[in-house]
Amino acid sequence: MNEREAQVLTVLNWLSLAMMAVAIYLVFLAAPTEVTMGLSQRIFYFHVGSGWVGAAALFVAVVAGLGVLRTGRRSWDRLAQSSIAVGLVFITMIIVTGSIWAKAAWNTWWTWSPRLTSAAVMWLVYVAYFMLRSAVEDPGKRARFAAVYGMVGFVTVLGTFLSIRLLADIHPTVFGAGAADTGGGLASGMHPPFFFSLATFSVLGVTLMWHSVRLARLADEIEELRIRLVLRGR
Amino acid sequence: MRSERERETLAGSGSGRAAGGFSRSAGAIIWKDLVAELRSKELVSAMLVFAVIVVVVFNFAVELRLELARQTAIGFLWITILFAGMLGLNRSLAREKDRGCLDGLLLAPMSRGMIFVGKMVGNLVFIVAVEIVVVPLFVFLFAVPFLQPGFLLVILLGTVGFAGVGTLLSAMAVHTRARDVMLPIILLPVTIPLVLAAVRASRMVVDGWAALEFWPWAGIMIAYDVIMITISYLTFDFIVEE
Amino acid sequence: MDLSYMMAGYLIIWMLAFGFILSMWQKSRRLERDLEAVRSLVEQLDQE
Repeated sequence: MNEREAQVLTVLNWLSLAMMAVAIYLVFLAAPTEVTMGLSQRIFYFHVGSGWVGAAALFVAVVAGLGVLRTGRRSWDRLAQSSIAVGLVFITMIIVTGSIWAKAAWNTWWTWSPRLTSAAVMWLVYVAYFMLRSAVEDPGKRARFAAVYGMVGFVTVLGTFLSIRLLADIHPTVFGAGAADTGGGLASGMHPPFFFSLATFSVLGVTLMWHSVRLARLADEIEELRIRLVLRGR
Repeated sequence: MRSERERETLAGSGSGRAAGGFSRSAGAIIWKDLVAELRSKELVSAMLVFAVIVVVVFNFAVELRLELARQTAIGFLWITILFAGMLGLNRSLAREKDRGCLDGLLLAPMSRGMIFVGKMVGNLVFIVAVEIVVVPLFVFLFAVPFLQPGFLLVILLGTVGFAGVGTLLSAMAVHTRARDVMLPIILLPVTIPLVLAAVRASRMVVDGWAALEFWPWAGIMIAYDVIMITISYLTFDFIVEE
Repeated sequence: MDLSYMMAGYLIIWMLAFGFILSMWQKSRRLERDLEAVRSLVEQLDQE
């Protein structure tokens, strides 16, 4: 790890922390209280933020997967793996907060809204992604399989989200009241905390991913060294 | 030896003119799979028996009252197709790999994408063969109006998409350690949008035909099929190469 | 009642984030240990 990277990471660490602190302040103290839902509505700010970053991570993984297939370089695979790991964390967040939100707003622990359903599908696909990775021995194959599966997963999640979203109006009763969930009508007083939370989660996501990629690279380097040593020792 | 004969057949057909050679090589693979299956009958018979057992067990596991029968029967049918289909997908590609046929195919002068098409159509034929038995079985046991063109079209669209992604993912699963367990884990989540759309498009079984409900969802199924099969066709090479 | 939902939501988010960070920190420690092991191997071989 070189000097510049260490500096960037330190900056990112502190930035994430600072932004999170500001975001908490904005969300808890500065944001206006919502009329119908009261305090529990404040979950919304972090809920959407984590959802966006999780979805972005999936997209990054697709690009990284293309990189793997094109160049066959391990660096792309590390990026793919890390972005999906971080993405999984954020998707878990959105599922849990979404469930809590559903209980608070509609008195049910689950609802098949577009966002939650897509999150659930995404979660299943990502977990399957890691199971697939762990079951393939050859690193080259593993990278390629993971790359392709990342793309297939992306199409799956996108397809699920779009199809429920676009065609929800045909069967309105099935999907329940999801006005806040689909992001309709945000009061202007809520804009700062919302967008800042979004930015905070983005920075947090990038920080976590960077750390994850760095660790993966270190592990690879150590493994390489070890192999070379063992060969030399003979 | 089997792979020798395959290679000759494929080399013979693959050396044709570009356009004709394309479909001929895929056709050769399909033909080989069909002939092999007709001789041994091991794949389709296993899938059929499994499917029938699943149907009967479901019947006892869930008490189907007549009003609910149509609604739930659609779901049951898809579960049956999915699980019997996965059984076939697993065994189809496992057989290839174990007997070294896959290596023989890879040496043949044809694009990997064509190998994919060949395998996919073969798998599709097997699953459809099972469906031809299972769908009437549902009509027989549960008195559901499945034998109408709209519903059969939905089944076909879904099966095509399933065979497409399934062939790609089973080619992956066959290279993993926990081979048989891996395919359901990686395949089922990916089929969710397809099954979702299929069930929504199958409304005509319950409520009677309504074009406004059918075409959007059928359109989604078609889009899924096209996208997934395209991805599978383009990436099959990367999955199968050594 | 309202408050508890909101608190639960945020608590979960932070727990997940910290959990991830913790696992990465553990991995980092493990890697450092491995690095030490490799380094000592290098020294051993150099001495021979």
